[in-house]
Amino acid sequence: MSDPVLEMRDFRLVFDTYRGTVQALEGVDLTIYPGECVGIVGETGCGKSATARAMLGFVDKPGRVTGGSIKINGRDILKLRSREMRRLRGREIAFIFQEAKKALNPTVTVGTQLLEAVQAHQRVPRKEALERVHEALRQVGLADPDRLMDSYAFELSGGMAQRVMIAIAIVGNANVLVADEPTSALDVSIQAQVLAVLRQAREVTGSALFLITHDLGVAAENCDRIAVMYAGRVVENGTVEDVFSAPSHPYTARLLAALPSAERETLEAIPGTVPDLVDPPPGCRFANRCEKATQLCVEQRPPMSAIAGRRQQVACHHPLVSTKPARQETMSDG
Amino acid sequence: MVNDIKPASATPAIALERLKVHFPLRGSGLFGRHRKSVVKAVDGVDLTVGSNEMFGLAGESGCGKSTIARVLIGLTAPSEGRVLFQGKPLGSIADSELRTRIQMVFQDPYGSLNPRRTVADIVSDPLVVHTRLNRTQRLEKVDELLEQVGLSAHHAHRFPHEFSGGQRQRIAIARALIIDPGFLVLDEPTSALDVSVQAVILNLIRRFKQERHLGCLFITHDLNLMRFMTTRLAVMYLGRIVETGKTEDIFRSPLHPYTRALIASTPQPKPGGRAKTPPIQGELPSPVNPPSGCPFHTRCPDKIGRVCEIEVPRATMVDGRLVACHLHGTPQSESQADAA
Repeated sequence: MSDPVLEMRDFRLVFDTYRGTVQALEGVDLTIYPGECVGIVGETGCGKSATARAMLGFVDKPGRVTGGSIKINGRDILKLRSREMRRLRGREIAFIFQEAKKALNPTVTVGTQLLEAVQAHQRVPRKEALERVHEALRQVGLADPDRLMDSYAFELSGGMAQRVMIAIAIVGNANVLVADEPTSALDVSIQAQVLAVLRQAREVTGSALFLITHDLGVAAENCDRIAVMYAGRVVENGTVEDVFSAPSHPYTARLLAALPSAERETLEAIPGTVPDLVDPPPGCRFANRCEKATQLCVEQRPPMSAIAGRRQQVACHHPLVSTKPARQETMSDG
Repeated sequence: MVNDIKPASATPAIALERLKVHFPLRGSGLFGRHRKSVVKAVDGVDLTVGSNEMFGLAGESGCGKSTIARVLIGLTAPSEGRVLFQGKPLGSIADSELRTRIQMVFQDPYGSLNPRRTVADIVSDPLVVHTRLNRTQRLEKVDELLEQVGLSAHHAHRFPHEFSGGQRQRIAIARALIIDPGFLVLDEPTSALDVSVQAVILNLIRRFKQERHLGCLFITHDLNLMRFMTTRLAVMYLGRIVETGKTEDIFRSPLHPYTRALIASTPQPKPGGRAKTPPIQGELPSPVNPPSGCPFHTRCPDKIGRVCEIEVPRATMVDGRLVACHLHGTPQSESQADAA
């Protein structure tokens, strides 16, 4: 396998608040290879957006990085100066925001913003820049690029604005895209269109994509691998097939059991709440809500361990699927 | 557009007859002097909901589903058509009586609870307005309701900001149920919540529906949710109902191209279901200037031809449900239904 385009290792992020220091991300490991789509899923407050933003160096006060590394194409971005980081953004890694209409600049035309995305990084004649912009707009399925370039963000529908956003992200040929809930503000029929556009654009550019979503359906249908986050940690990662058909972390299993579906009579809610991250428990952060939790879970943080015969890893002392070929677990797949 | 199939029970809790809700828009020009236009939010809807039924209203934003909810609880006046509540026209029922019989749970639990009042005040309000219970009796009732929605009596003296989204929605449900309404309108009650919390609220709603024999109108854009919660449903598009029938039937073989597309667009959290090409192209037309004929013809993958542009399709009974589509207007369309 080729080298990863982005590798996050033991990443730690805290937020200084008046209540104390919130341990928002504690040792997050994520890797993405060229052309891959990796989903980051989890519920509100689990740290998926903070993770996504950190990949582009978007860590603002009161946020503070306390450890780990984020390597993009082999270079640790946490060691870069802000000027160097700016050169990386758009060229090697690009971000797609959730609410495109708010993320676009309301005071200048869409065209200006698209051209800026090209010319910020390369000295190209205006004519060539225009050609590239037109190409990008075609790729995201926007007909009549000339008229579109003269419009302002408020004139666009939600779906069109998100396509423009994607065009801005791909026009610099970045090899990693990070999309933070790119379709959660859109209707399902438009969501399907935008996700298709994102797929088609990636087929052309070959860029890898981190897709941050709370919608497990979107993750299942669009990603190759997914990472499940809970309370600032990745609890499980693996291929979509493995994680959905045989979740190994109790949280993942409970999350899937909480989804409404026709086959289910009642839904299983997850009892309890997420621990306070100002003073997080020393052990597994899911321990207080987990029916399999033991004293060990309360005291010791479970390490990420590989699952035999699969490209799946889990951070759990009592995983639902055996982590070592020797140990026989009687548990069936969650 | 669709004449609804009658539910099993005798007098339906709710019946809408050719309901239209049009909102006038200010015209163009200074002070809107020129050309006034209207938004046809609801444009001829027929619908019945049984008195012990969980009826779903599905559709994308702007289709008019929330407007129907607002009409039912008397927040918006219909422009045309009739709304019957247990056989009586809505206009003949006093507002105060209506609100003891229909209550609503709103979408956003952060916006629907007054931040300056305690939970006890919020939940007991309907009792203050509609009953003659004294304070002690009211508080007793509040404690009882809070208990039933999974909170406890000591929460009564706290303020909304002290609660999570799921807990707030429980408070909203307690408020809606405290005067024992026979009918509950639920407008996207869980769309602001995480799935694990959503599960709690959905279970709660289902339990109350069973225990209190409530009629419910459940509005959601999420078809997975719809399938889980409802027994019958109507799919709306641009102010009209395109298909009504048993939830099971509709999901098994959707007849209207829009229903089919909507189901196909809904992502399934299952392994092996890779995303396909999007079933509908284009965007929702403006409800100010809706397409002629069938409102869906501009995006329809199965458009037959001119007839779709000219003629508004009539609701036809096909395979136990009502469909408003030219594909199913004639008897020979049976084969098409099977193909779906």
